[in-house]
Amino acid sequence: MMNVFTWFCIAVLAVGATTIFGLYIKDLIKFLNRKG
Amino acid sequence: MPGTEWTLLDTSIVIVYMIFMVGIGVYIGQRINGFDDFFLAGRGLTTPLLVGSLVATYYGLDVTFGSSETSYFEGISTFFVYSAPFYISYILVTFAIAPRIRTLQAASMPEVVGHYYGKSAYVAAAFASALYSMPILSVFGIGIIGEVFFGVDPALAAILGSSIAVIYTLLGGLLADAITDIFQFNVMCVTAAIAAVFAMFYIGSFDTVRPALDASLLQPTGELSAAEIVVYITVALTPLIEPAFYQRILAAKNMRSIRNALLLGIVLWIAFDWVVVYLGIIGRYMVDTHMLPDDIDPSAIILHVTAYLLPTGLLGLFAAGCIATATSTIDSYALIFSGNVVYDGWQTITGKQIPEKRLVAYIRIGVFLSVVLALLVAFRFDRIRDAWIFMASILNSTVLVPMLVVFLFPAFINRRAGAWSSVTGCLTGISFFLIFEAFGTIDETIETRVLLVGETALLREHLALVTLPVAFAAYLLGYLVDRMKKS
Repeated sequence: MMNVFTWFCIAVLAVGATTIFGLYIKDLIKFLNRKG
Repeated sequence: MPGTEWTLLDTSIVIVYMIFMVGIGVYIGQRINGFDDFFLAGRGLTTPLLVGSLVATYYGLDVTFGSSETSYFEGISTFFVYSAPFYISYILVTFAIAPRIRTLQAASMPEVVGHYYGKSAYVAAAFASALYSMPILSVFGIGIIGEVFFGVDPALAAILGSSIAVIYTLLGGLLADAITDIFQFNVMCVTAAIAAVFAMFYIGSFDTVRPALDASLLQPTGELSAAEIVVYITVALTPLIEPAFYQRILAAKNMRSIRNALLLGIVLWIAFDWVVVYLGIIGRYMVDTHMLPDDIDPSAIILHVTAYLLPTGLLGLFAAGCIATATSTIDSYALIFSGNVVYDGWQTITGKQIPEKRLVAYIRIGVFLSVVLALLVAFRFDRIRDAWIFMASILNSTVLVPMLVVFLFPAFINRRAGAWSSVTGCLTGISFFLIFEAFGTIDETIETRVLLVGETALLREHLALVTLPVAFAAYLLGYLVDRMKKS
């Protein structure tokens, strides 16, 4: 159970960070265009 | 350290990372047009920026080093006893606090307090928030990273690392802070995940390490006294008054952005906490099985484990991740400290509104001074934990009772009561801390300061058991006096 949870947490960190970074790049382009 | 050798590639990764962070500050600095732009990123932060900024800011080296050290000694109960109660507070922040404070045109946590309770409470909250936000722990942590990875003097490493955070925050304010945070958040999450993958493959899962470890290390519940439970519950309530949360809630583009960001943040915090706890347990296993020397400093156990496991290149990335964890905390809290002193404190005490351009200039000076102060304080304390306990206790004593009334019992919001509670809580917190310093003694076995009151031994961590009831009594008294005067 703890091993499964550890792998789950590793996946959450890796996938979560990558996805949010992707969304951020999309947002950043919009945000800076609006500001500048 | 055993394991991988630090190479030029690792150093290059760290240097490139630092230059990149400064570059972001320079770029954003050209786009700052006023106080809201500088201090609240134009109140336009979107969900991804908020997630990165919340996760990276709130989880500093205290969590990375502190949780791994605690799990090294206490095992998985670190997660269930210390970390889990915080998640309830995060949910309360998401659904009970964020919607309420979003309706105010405030810029900071003390201003929210001031909105409900008036000038005295505002100034007391600004003082407590500024004290709490001095980035002492992270400055000290960068010193440890510099010493472990680069072999340089901790003070020098702290000055260099902090300077990077100061430069981009001075230039670009919260937006530069949030943008650097998202990179720092990524480096922090990905490197922690990579370290855990290497540990799972090369050291082993819980099934592998179980036979070599004391069985208590894998028990979810620790043995806590009633007093300790109350203290941990109090500490776990800190997110309800966390200045960095308030700043981001107020800087969010809309309510949906901050709600989604907090919910995603909770999932990531849970994952990060568990991975760090796992790496601490792996460290314990490696020490017990003599893969690591038994005289290493447990507070740096996560650094020793990763230095052993990660290959060159990834080791540099992990060091950059640790620096990222520290700088993302330094930049945000330096900005909050400065806002508390200049925007909340100075303007409220003098009663004069500083013109916007000058306000931004003063806040920039404050950012610089906050890190200088943190550097001076960090290397003056023998035990850095002492400084943190003092800062967090004062914040809780000053702000927690009045703000709990706002969120839980809004019918009882009363200006006199809030002012009495925050000022009395703040003064009681400072007084009791000084009493502990003057009359308490250090107990080396439990690593804290103990004050004997008759036959009862009061630990410094129990400060909240005194200050919170005092703050509550002051609120009640203020409320009753006010009602009597009005009737």
